Amino acid sequence: MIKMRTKLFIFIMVLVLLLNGVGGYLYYSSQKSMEQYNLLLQRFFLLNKISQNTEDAYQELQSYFVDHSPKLFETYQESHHELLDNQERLILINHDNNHLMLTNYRHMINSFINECAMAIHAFREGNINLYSEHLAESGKIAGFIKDTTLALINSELTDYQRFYHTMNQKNRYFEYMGISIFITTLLFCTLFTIWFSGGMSRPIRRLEAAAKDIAKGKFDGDDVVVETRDEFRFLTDTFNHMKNNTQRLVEEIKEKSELDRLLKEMELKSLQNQMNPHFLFNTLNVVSKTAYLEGADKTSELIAATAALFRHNLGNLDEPVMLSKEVKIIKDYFFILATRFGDRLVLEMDVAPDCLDHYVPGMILQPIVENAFIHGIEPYEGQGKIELVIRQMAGRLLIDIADNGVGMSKQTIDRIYKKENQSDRPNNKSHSTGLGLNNVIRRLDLFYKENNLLNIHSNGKKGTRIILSLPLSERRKMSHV
Amino acid sequence: MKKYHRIFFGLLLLGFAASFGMSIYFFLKTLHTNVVLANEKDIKEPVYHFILIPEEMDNPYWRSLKKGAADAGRHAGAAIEYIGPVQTNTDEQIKIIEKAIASKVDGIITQGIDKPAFKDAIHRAKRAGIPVITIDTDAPDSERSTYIGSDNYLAGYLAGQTLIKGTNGHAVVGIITGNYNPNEKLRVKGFQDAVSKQSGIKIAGVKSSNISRIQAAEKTYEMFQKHPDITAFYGTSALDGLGIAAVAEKFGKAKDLYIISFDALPETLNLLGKGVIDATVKQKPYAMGHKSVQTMVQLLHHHDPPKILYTETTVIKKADIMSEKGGRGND
Repeated sequence: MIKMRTKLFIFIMVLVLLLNGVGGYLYYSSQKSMEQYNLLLQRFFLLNKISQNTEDAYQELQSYFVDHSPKLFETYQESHHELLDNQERLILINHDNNHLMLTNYRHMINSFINECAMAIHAFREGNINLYSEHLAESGKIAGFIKDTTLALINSELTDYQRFYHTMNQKNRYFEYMGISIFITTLLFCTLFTIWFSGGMSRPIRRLEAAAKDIAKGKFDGDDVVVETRDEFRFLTDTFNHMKNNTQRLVEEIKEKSELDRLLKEMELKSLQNQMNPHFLFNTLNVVSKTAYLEGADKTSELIAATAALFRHNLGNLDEPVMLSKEVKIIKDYFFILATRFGDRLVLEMDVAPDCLDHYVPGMILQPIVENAFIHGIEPYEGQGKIELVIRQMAGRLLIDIADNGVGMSKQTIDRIYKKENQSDRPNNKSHSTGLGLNNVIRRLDLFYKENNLLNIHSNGKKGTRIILSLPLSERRKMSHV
Repeated sequence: MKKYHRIFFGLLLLGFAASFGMSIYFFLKTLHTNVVLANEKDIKEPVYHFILIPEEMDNPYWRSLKKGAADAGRHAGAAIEYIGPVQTNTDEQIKIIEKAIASKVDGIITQGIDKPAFKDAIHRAKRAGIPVITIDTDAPDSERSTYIGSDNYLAGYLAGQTLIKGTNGHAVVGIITGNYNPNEKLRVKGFQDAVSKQSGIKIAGVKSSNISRIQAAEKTYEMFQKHPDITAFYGTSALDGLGIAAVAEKFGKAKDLYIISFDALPETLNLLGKGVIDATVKQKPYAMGHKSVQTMVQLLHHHDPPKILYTETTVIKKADIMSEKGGRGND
């Protein structure tokens, strides 16, 4: 991730390095030019100095010959040594163009010094003819040296002309380079600013739009996308995450309220079914006892079963109940049906005892059995048979309810499954559909947070089989969602 | 709007790339422009250092001679310094010789001068151990080691013979000589000796042009005035022939006069082609220059060459010009 700060830092560093580099380079170049200037001046000074030394040495020698003072001889010696030193330094000037001339020059200085030495020697020996001859000769050579000095300076100047020309050329290039670099940095800064501010404002605009959507309650918009990999990437990622979380929470709340609504519906239904159930329940109990006292045992029993069924319905539907209780209700319900239909209806129950103390949602089995009876057996001409098998298998509770009635058509099955999506529709209280199976399916889904717990098998002609496959709950009472 | 942004951005980018490229280009330009004074460190030290002192610096004859010397020098590893007076000036020539001695050169090649100062200078060179070769013009009574150049007497003699042949032995001849230096004297002498046996040839007079074209023309004109019967002219230096030819052309006598000249300057050859000049004695300056350097190297190795080494002289006429033009570079 390249942070904004890093970007800015790199930009500023590049700019600073570039400008410093240019400055450094200019300084270095001018320094070099200065060196060359210095060299040139040194050359001129050296040549001038040598010419001067020669002249001085000659003059001093002449004066010395005139008044013999040792002091003059000393000054001559000084000039002489200086001349020799400077002659050594002539290497500074040496180059291809003036090499021969310079060689001559050096030799001339030697010749001059030789002649001077010979003149001094002759002078000390008192050989007037010879010393004046050598003095004259050294004077002549001094003249040559002066001439050659001028010629050398001339040649240096010719070289300098070329030097000056190239220097001007180079300065022109520097000027062009400066202008180019100025434009380059200007454009570079402009481009960087556009890029940088674009990289900042674009994600902000997108976040702004997304935030507006959320404010309107629209959570399912697309995620905000950022191309850069800076702080904005982090910000938008967090924003997207937050939005999705919120969306999920809202959906959970919706689900929960749906469950509550279904439970309320169920309760309402029971209440509707019961009218004043407590009063009816008590009355039924009184009727049962009366029937018993009057010796109508069967009637008494029937009424007691009906009363039990009512009481079960009165119970809190929010609470899970033990499977044994559910099974008991089925028995009561069946007793009532058996009384009504007699031999036409047979119930077979096979419940594994170890299943009985598991908890399941209340009012699950009864609506299924009722459904089997109403849709399967009632329209069926022959002997009806309802089988209930409960088993525990592979950590699941299997509840198998089968009838041998007319069976369900495909459309009916589909309708039952689909009913889920039509729950908003005002409830059709008709006997045929009822809240029955569909309500069971949805409550199972909500209770266990699993789908397809209830499967309907029917070939559409003979018999229906409904299999519930429920996860095993702990043996303690489950807390309701 | 978006599209314009794109275009604007693209232009900026393009401008940036262009200016960036320019920056680099000019940066490299400045980098490759070396602003340094001449300062070669590894100078090839020549084996020998000779000085060639001409009569006159900017003179085609001497330049040809210099070229010969330089070519031989390159071969022998000798640096040839070519220094002389801008215009003929013997005093300056002698001064340059003295300077060369003070400069301790390895050898001096100079035109011979008939002056005591010259002899004196050669003497000092000899004493300093510097060999001297005279070239083009000899100074036989100096201490020069060798003379290399034309046999001037022979050249004059050749000119005389050519004139006799060209005029069928009947002519009145005016002689214009450059100056009275030994060279010219020998050329006049050789000529005189050649024509003396021929009774039909008469010499009207000898005049000096002082090696100047204008003076040569003046002297020619003077001689014409004095001896209207002149039928031929003989010029002993390169410029004399040109001066004579100028006068001859002016008086419309170019065809009648028989003009014999010295040396083969381009102008001389041109006049020869036009038929104004009838013949010219050609020396070989390139060969002289070449030979002088070789001889100098021999001298330095103590192989004593002969005192006098003549180079060839020939007479060329109009017919020879075509071949002459072809090989003018080396004589």
